[in-house]
Amino acid sequence: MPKAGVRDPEGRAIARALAGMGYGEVIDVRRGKELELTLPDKKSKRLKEEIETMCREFLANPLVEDWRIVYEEKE
Amino acid sequence: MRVAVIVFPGSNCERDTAVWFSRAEAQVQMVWHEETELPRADLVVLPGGFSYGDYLRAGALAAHSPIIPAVIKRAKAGAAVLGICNGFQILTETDLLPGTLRGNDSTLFACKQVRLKPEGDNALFLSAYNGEPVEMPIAHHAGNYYADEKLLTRLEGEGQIAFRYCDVKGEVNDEANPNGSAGNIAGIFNKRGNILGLMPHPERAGERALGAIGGCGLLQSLIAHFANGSS
Repeated sequence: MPKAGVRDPEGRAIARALAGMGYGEVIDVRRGKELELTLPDKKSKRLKEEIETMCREFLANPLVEDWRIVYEEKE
Repeated sequence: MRVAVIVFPGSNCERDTAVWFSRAEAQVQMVWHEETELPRADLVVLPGGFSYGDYLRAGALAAHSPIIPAVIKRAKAGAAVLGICNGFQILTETDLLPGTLRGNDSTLFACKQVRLKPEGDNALFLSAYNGEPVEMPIAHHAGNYYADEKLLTRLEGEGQIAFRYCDVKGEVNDEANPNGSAGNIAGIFNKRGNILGLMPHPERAGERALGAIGGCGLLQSLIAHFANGSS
């Protein structure tokens, strides 16, 4: 997601479009990205640290983006 | 003068760039991104285009291409490196240049002539400019240069700003800013001054038939530098 304090013109454009459609109660929109990584069932501590590194050094741009890592079981 | 132009999948300005240099009698070699070694060259160029379709972020995947460690090694050894548009984006993703290029504030693709004010006294790239505004075209969706306050202050203090967007009178103001770039910054150097990244296209501003000649100064500066045998 764009970091707080960093301009998000896409989010702003989406918010304006929503207001134009009559959804004026939406105060703000921020537009981010979701990446889904398929991983083995058993995740080692090392793997989880590597995923943090992947985010920091490649998947996200830490200058302007924050990220959240969520682990989910898929059927 | 010998020039190596790196070609990534999705680069589309490499031929215009090669022609721009070869018409000035430089020897140009194209280098495919999967090579791991660079040929002997006075200048390495990362050209414009949409490497990897701008997937993930513009320049993010290209920054991990097999050729990049060789480019980084050359750059750190002091060789001249020029990144144009997507090339500038790739240079920020490799951290060879600080800051980052974000989506244009307008959310639109900006495709037009702009005026640029060259700044500072970098002899390698800017010696043939006289500080007067010049014209070059831009063509980008993500040319919005971002650096936080601390970095901006440092860049200005160290003379690392190369070009700023300006109006016809040379005034640097909001009206002249086509994409929201901090400080109207269109191009920057690294601290050492051997790496230049800029969003506008000098290779499309090399002769009157193309509609702009603002790129000539850049080419002339480089040729003058290397003609003196300072390789």
